[in-house]
Amino acid sequence: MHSTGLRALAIVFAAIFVATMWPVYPLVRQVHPFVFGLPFPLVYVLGLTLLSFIVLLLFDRYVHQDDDP
Amino acid sequence: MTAWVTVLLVTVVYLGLTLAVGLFSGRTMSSGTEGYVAGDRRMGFFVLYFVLGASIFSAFAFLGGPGWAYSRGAAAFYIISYTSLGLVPMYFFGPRVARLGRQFGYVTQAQLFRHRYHSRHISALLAVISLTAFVPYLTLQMQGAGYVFSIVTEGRMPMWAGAGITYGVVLLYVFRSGVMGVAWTNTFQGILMLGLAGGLGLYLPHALHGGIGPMFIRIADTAPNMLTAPGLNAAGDPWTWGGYSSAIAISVFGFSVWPHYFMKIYTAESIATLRKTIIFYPTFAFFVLPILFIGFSGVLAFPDVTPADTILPTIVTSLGLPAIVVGLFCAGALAASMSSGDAIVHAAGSVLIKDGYRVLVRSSVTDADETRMIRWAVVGIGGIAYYVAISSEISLVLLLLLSYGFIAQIFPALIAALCWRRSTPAGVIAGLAVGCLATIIWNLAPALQWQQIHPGIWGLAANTAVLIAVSFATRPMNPAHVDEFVTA
Repeated sequence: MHSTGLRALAIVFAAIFVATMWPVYPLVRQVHPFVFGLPFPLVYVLGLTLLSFIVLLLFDRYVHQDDDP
Repeated sequence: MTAWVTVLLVTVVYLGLTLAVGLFSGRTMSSGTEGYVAGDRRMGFFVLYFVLGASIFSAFAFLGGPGWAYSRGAAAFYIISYTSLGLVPMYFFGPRVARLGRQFGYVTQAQLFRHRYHSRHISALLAVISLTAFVPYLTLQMQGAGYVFSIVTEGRMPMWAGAGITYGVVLLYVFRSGVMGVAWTNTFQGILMLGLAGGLGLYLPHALHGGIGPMFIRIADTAPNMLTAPGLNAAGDPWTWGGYSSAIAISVFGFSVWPHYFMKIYTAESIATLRKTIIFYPTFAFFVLPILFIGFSGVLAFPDVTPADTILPTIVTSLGLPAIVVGLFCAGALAASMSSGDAIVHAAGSVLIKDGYRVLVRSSVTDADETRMIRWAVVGIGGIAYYVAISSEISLVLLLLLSYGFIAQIFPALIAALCWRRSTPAGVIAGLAVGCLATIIWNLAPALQWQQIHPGIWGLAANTAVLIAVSFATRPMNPAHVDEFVTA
């Protein structure tokens, strides 16, 4: 269960990793639109950061919690 | 009292507090290497979070981060990306390394490799790679500290004296308290830096542009290239996607295997604590954000500041802020330098004795003698780095470029050690050697450069290919022994 879960998590993070760089990041390279006063390339990077945090938090809470006291 | 004296006083008070925290924090640790290097494996979440987090707030982040935003615009966003993803690989391998560390008593990175592959040559090679990467980084932190003192005293105190005082304090508490001194000072410094970065990062855009939104709108109208990914290169021309992407990739592969980070796995009080620390680590990326705002705030308000890394002190000293605020800024900059430097010098001393001296020169040493040797190795390495820092004869540029490329070469070896039963000592050694060699060659031969891809990436490709090929060409290891690591 855990090794399968870890494999799925690795795939999710591989996707996030690729999303931070070429060839995905160039798709959102333009300054506009501004969100909360921030240029879009920065908002996109911050969004991926938040996603990383939430994915890891949820994975640990619901899949990996009962391991290793 | 003149302003510079007030600023100097604030800075000295900060150094005194840090020294007190550092000396005091070692009082409960045991006297052997497990206490000095691994903190008796009982570090909790709060301290571990700041130990790992404060190291990202190095002199590079605190002074270099604003410099990148100021001179290279959106290129600086890569710092956020690698901060958010840098420790994620440790979520996968960290718990297994921690279990093995408790089972076999490891306190350094190379001990795991030496045991897994029954090879003292791997231990020695990793010690050489680690020390080669550590010294330039430590030197850079020292130069940053000396530079801060030079600013504080308006040039009255030379760089060598400022670096000497700051790192005299660092060596005192690291010598006395080992990793617990590093841990609690980093917690103290981390809180200070977060407060300062947040305060300045929100205040400066407001003071100079009327807010963060108006600041970015003005930059977008005047210099849109600054905010269009992937930003600019060091020469001010548009950066390549190869350069931007490979900078993130080499940082993510290298980040979690830096020995001074890796060794903190052994310090966690439990595996649950380690996992929790790694989960919360990406939150530091949000703390990096105000540091970048500082640099962006100077783009239109303070054009043509050179070198770009001086933009933060330039802004702080130009705005007529109260001397006590300038003093706090200087304390924050020193904290950034010290919180990285102390962890590095502590790890370097431990690696030199545990993975170098004990393996190659004299294996039978009492625990007390070994701890004493590590303490003096910390002082010795600090002295060497200090000499390099104050000597204008030695260029650090190439060594710094090589450092991350070298350290990232440990990543394939670690994955092989924990996941690939067929990997052999010869394969790992050949992979590491070829990977480092390829990194050097791609650094030295501009003709080989393509799309400004980081040389360490070519090293990783060569490393992985050689590791696989040589492992298949050599005799497999005892499956029962290998299973202890692959199924940990």
